[in-house]
Amino acid sequence: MKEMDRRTFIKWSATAAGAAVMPLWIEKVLANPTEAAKWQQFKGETVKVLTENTPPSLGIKAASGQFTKLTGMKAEFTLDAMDALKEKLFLDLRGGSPEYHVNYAQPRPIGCVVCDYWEPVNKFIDINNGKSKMADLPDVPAIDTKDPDGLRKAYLPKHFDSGCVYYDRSKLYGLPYDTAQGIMFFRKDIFAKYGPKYSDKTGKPFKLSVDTTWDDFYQMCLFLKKNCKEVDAPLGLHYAQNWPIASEWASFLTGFGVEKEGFAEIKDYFAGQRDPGPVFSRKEDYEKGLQVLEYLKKLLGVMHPDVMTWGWTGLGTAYATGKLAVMRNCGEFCPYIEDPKASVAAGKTGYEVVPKGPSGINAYEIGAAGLSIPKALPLKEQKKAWLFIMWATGPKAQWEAFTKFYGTPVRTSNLEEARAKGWLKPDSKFRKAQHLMVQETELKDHLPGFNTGPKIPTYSEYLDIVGGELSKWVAGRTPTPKKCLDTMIERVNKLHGH
Amino acid sequence: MSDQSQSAAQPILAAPPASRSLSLYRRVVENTPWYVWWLAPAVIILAGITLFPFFWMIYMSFMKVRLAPGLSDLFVGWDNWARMFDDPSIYQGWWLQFQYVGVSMVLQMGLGLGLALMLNQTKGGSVLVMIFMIPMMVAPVVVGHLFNLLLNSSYGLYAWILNTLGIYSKGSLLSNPDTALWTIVAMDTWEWTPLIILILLAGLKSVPQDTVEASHVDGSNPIQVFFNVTLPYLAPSLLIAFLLRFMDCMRFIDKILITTRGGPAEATKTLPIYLYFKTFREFNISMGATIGFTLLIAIIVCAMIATNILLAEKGGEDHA
Repeated sequence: MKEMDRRTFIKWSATAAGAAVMPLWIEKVLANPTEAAKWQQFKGETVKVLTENTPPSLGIKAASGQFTKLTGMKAEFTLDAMDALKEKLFLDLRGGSPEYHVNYAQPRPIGCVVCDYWEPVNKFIDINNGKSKMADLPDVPAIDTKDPDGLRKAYLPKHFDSGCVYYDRSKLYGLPYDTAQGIMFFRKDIFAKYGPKYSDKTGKPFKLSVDTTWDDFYQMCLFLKKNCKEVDAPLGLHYAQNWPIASEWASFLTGFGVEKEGFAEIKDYFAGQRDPGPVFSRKEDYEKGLQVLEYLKKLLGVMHPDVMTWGWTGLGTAYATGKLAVMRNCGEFCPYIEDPKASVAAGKTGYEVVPKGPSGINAYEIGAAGLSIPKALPLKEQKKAWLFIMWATGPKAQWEAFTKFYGTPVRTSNLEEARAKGWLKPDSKFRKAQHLMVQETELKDHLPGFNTGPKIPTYSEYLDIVGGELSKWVAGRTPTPKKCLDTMIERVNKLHGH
Repeated sequence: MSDQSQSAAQPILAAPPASRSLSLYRRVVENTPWYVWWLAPAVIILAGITLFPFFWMIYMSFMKVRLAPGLSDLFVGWDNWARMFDDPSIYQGWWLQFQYVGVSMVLQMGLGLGLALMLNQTKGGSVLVMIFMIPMMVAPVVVGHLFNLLLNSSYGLYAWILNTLGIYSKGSLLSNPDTALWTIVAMDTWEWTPLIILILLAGLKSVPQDTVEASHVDGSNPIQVFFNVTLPYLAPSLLIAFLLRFMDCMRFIDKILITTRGGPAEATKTLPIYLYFKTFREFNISMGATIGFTLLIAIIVCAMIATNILLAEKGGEDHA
């Protein structure tokens, strides 16, 4: 037998040792893949996203090249108007074998109805600090995972409560994705022209501010109606049947001091309740409800006649085409209003907090949606969806969607970045961020006005009743507000078995 | 030997069952007209795709249908029916449906008849017929979008014309609860009157010209000729046109969904729209089936009445 020399012995020994250690190393690497590998694990596959055809989703869609670069996956978007989206999504979920990986989770009218078909993200992360529970998935990006409340702090206030919590606080059904928050848009040129005349005549200021009440504002609108010829009507709100007018109702009720849209028995407003109890059971709520009905009809007198068919987009188009002096609409319309190619109001629009109601609350509607994952998807498909959600709600995607397109950032870090650039000032040249300034004030100083409406499983039926009865009342097809409210109460209570 | 004679006698005394059924089969085959065999596959398929859903709809109206996988439907008896009759929106839907279908039918049949008579006597009528047919070629959803644009008070041409002429200046006709339903009736009339024209023009071609001329020679004026000669010949075509449009109108939702979605102030929430909302907005499949069944019965009854009238007319003619 040939004797092994020292060099050969060392070579063989090293090889044997390497071979012995290799499986351990491979196991370790597989168990702890690099961050890049975690994102790239489904490279070449596709994620199907079903969402609303509104500016934030258009922004995220346009920024989705970033997602492909990060994950190697392709995001395939289906964008639809809310009604069509809802029908498509409900069918997809209830069919039992969902086609879409990611669902747009608008709390009303979608989430509160179908949340039981979604997978709580507790499966993937610690819902307090965003740390991943699965070794092959990354943590939620840009979160301080050492902070026990790190996840919530990274997003705008109350946006988790609004778009990701349903009936049970211990479960989280997604991450906040976009924000549609009611603010006032007004024509500065018209206010400048007619303001002094109004002040001379009445001795009151002609301006919108956090201290302006709806009554003050109504007087201004009456003055504009008599004197201003530049626009068709002083004011626009969304009074179309069903959700748009029901949303106005919810905001005005909050402004008039009715909590939880009259469902006094709902314990946790943001989580909602499966059995909400009777509506307007408290006498004081009932009286205020009647006042709101009167007010909604009174405002119709200073509004454009087409408001009866306007939802949020119809209202935005009317303002952009110069038909209105003021509108209350979601801040997400700001980039469109400030686009000189699309709007005659570009550069002429001022932004302000919604006026105060008689209760002293500046009540504003909020459509803060999340993104959710169908429960019926296999784990692998859910992981793909989760990667998309983490990217789409992350600061990089939100920033790109906001700065380059029409996105509505929900990350607090994005707001800080915008502030650092000097964009959150009324005279900023970067006009697309004007609404963020006002929205921030509302969220900071007027949190009681944050209005999402009730989360109840019967929300579709509820909308049909409330939206229909309100529409009939403002159109003069119901003789008295009492008749309208009584009918509404009777039908809603019957729906809930009370 | 005896066994052999017995077995030979058996076929004479009683035919074995196989031979009997073979004979029945042969009789059926030989006595059934050939066209029945030709039609049979189509009839079987048609029955499958119409009768099955029909009975399934009845089944659903007595159940609580649950779409989630793993959950079976629950029998609820007459509960859906009781809730339907207790729902004020149903009666409102029927009333709107009655108005919509009634006015649409009167307008479309009246205009269709008038235009068909005119075109029948116009030189170059075929070119005009082609032009009249254009709206019918457009998908109803597209018609809805088109009128939405034309009537939009921000940029719509029709809205501008109406406003400029001082006829209507309260925004869009579709945003006023008093005008929305009639605007949709007008859209439907614009689109579907050509179908009536087409059917009636075909009917007018069957009116014998010698009878018309004889009537003129006898001193009848055009109105008398129309009522005494043209109309009796045209009656079957009129009934077919009525039947087709009536059934379409009863089922109609597309233009309303595109333009008003049942609003404003529920002014266009006709029964099929309500049915659609119940089924696809609220996913109350059982209630949708219950409403759908009543709507179907109403259509069938009306269609049967019209068909009976048609057959009675035909029988009278044959008898004469």
